[in-house]
Amino acid sequence: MKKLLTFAFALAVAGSLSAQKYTTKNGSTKFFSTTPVEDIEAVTNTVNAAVDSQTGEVFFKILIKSFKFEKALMQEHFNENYMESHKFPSSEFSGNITNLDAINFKKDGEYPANVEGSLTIHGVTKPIIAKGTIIVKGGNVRIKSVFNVKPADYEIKVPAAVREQIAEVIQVTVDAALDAVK
Amino acid sequence: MKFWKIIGILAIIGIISGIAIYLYVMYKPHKSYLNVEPDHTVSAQMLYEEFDLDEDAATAKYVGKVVLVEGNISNIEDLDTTLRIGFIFNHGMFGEEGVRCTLDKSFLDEARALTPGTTVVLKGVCHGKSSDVELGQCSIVK
Repeated sequence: MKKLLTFAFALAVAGSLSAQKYTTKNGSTKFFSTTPVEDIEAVTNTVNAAVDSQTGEVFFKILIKSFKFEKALMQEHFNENYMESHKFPSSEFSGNITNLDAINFKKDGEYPANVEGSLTIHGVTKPIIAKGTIIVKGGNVRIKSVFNVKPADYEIKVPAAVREQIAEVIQVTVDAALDAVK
Repeated sequence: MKFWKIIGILAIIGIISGIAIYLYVMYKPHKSYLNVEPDHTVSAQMLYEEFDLDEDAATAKYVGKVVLVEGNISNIEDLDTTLRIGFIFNHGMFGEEGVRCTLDKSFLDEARALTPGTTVVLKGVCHGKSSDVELGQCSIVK
């Protein structure tokens, strides 16, 4: 909540400098775990994302309970045992585009983006660096990124009985189409 | 001989039952909340205000629970395979904010007949609050 308020304040200040802000409430995040035993995938389409083209600030918030799995049992275990979503209902990323000068938000095109910031999962915050692509088209922006996360880094405990079914490194795919805030 | 035949038959029944239970548990369908009694009944406005006032308390109270919400529809987002009904009470960083209900696929056609301004009662599972209070797997009750 504090990060969201800080970002909101930054956006308000940046507003006085005619910065362009882009937001969405319908971003998509998918995570994928692959092991010899099983592939597990889950997706959510209610990700809140925001980008400030002036400061390069980036913000994402995901509600853990919004992730959908093919198997109901896995969805239950994910929420109740691994992510403990009743204690930690959301995951957040707050950071900056570090190569902001290389991205022209006013010109249609695809721009490689480097992002650094803090990722909070299961109540644990860790620094993270990720690469992605910012696609500018028709005055709006789409952010795509694929990066890896280790559940153990965020104190997510996987019971020994199912350890072989869940990868030690999970692939996270983000795809968010943001609209310019008018 | 007859004894062992009975034992054999019971063993086979036991094994088949065990496999059936295993398969049901592993591949059971996602829960439908259509006929589940709600844990909470609240107006959409009150639900939003509770989260706005004290997000931690509202999270503990509502997240993961089945909530029956009533409200006047502010907007409808029709995204082909997904439809969301919004009850708007505020304006923030992400634009309009309030309570947002993602409809269960079985209610898409019924939801498409609704219009902003209509009072509706929906039932869904509370996911928490990002900019909106989000409810998922929503069914149209009234």
